[in-house]
Amino acid sequence: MSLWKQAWLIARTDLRVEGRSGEILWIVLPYGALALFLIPIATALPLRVLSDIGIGMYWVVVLLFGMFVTLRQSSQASPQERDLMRLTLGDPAALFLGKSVASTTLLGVFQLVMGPISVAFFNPALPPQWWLLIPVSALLALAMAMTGTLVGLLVAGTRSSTALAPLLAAGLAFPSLVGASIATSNLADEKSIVTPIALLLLVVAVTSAIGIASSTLLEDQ
Amino acid sequence: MKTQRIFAWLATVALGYGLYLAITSPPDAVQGEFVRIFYVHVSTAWVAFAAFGVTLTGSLAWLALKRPILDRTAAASAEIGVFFTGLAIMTGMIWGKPVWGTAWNWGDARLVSTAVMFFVYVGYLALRRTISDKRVRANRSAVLGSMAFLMVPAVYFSVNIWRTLHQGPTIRSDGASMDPAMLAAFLTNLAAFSLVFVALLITRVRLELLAESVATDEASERHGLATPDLEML
Amino acid sequence: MAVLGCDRGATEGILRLVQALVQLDNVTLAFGANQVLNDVTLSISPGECVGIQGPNGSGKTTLIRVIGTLQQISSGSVIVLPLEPKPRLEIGLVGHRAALNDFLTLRENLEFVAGLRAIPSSEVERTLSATGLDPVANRRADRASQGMRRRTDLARIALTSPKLLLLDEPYTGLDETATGIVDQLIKNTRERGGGVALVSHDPAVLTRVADRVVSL
Repeated sequence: MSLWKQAWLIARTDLRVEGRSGEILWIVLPYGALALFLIPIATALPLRVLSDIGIGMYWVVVLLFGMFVTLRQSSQASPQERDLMRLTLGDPAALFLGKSVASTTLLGVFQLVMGPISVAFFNPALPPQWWLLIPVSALLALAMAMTGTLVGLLVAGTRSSTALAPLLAAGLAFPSLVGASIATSNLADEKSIVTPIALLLLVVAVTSAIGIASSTLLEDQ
Repeated sequence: MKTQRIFAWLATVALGYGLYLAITSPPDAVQGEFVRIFYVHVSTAWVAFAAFGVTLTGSLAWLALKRPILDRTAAASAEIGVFFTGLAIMTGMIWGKPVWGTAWNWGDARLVSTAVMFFVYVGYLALRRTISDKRVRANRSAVLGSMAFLMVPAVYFSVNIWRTLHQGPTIRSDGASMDPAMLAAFLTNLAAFSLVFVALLITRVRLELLAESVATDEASERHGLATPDLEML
Repeated sequence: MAVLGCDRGATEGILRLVQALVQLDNVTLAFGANQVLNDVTLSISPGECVGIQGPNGSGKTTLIRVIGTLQQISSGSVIVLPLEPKPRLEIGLVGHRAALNDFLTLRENLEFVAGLRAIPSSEVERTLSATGLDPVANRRADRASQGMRRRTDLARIALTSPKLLLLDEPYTGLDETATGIVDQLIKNTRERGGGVALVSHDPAVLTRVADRVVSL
């Protein structure tokens, strides 16, 4: 069976599992929304300032809570399941690709829900070409999904993986956050967003190359 | 052992001379006496970046050759890199307080992203601590060590694509912009800190290999369960 | 009838028969200061069932994982299914705990493996019937009993028909019917010319099933 067919089956199964566990719908999404809700209360900033930082806060919540999406418990395999995958997949890269596709989809949904909540809470000053933030968001989702999946494979089966994974994932996702942040400020200043898009594309290219190249190494325990 | 001692002595002497030059060099026209911290700050930052470069090289070399010393070198260098990154951030803050008027500047991309790099490599060291199997640890660390190094160019170039207060290149391709005495102090410190790095690296790798050989000696005795004394129950 | 030395296909066939499926030589494995396997040499020939016994902590499960190419060794050599282009795909492992995703039904768990191996879904249905799982096949794995879960694990082996079957305490906690399934899987594997490694702490089981027993 081809690599892509296996990856697609893994992605579909992952999404089905998430649909049943409801981890993102019932835990990560409310938690992220709560974070957006707490920021204005904790900072007690005037409405005008909140409006200025609105999009930035959205990116931060997407980065930090999006990591919970990519590292969701429902997608973490037990040691027995990991052994089974190693004895079942012809090419272990299918696992990396499949999980990345599933996480990208879920991050897309996460961003779709968080976007309107941010607008409602912060009333941010959206740039005239705000719709250009959609491809930026999509690329951010892809970059974060791949980073998160790779980190998930790196820490699989290790002690303290629950605490370690977010530290690694959030750190490695830093260039993606910079990309999204520059894109937002460039759009506000009505400048080109080619550079931040290129940065995000570079992160996607490098992460996917490392993920695919190292998949055989990372399945060994 | 001999090499280790030679480097340790060289590093100590060079560091002493570097500090002497840093103290006796003339003050800067703009920054005054505060420029002296700069010699240490830039040198520690240089060692941090070089150390992470060695971690990348060691990681890639491990993946290609699977020699244990390559993995241990990568790990030792990451430890040193984390220490010197912390030092670079601290000296940067000490420098920034009088020069910028604030110890921590959120507008400075290089400062912020260096801090992020610090955390990524702390994560690298943490990952190593969580895996007991040497080969698995080496494999996974090598993947992370290669990926984490992506942070280094990200850190370096972010200064150009993000709004920043950070000082630009100190020595430019169109010729040195520095007083010769200051340049001498700068380059001596750079060399001295590089020697400190090499001395620390050799010592750390040697220590790790010694620790492993002790563990292997212990392992040669079989650790199994003893026969129970049922009458004692 | 093919003549030896004249027919390449026949030569390969004979080689295949004489070649050991598994050959472990002087395998040593240590986790830090803890020596788990010490100079283990073992081979499994086509059609053979090798029993592995030993006290608690002697490394039986680790040895099964080494044979299954799932565990790296410190020194020695491991050759598993040398004639297979992708040996791992020909290994079936049944461990202490079933390798099931809790959020999928028993049927979906089997369909997932079948999908990855391009096995038609009719085979899944046939296997579910053969193992007596069809009445509970739509039950989610986390709501299935331990017996059903173990039986699903066995059904996966029946579905994939591996050349090398690795069983780690397969009879523990099984009823008579499920015990019969394990026996049948071992028999089928041997008849196909495959090999079986069976870990058990019960000497009676090993005497009944294994051709020879290796002690750790």
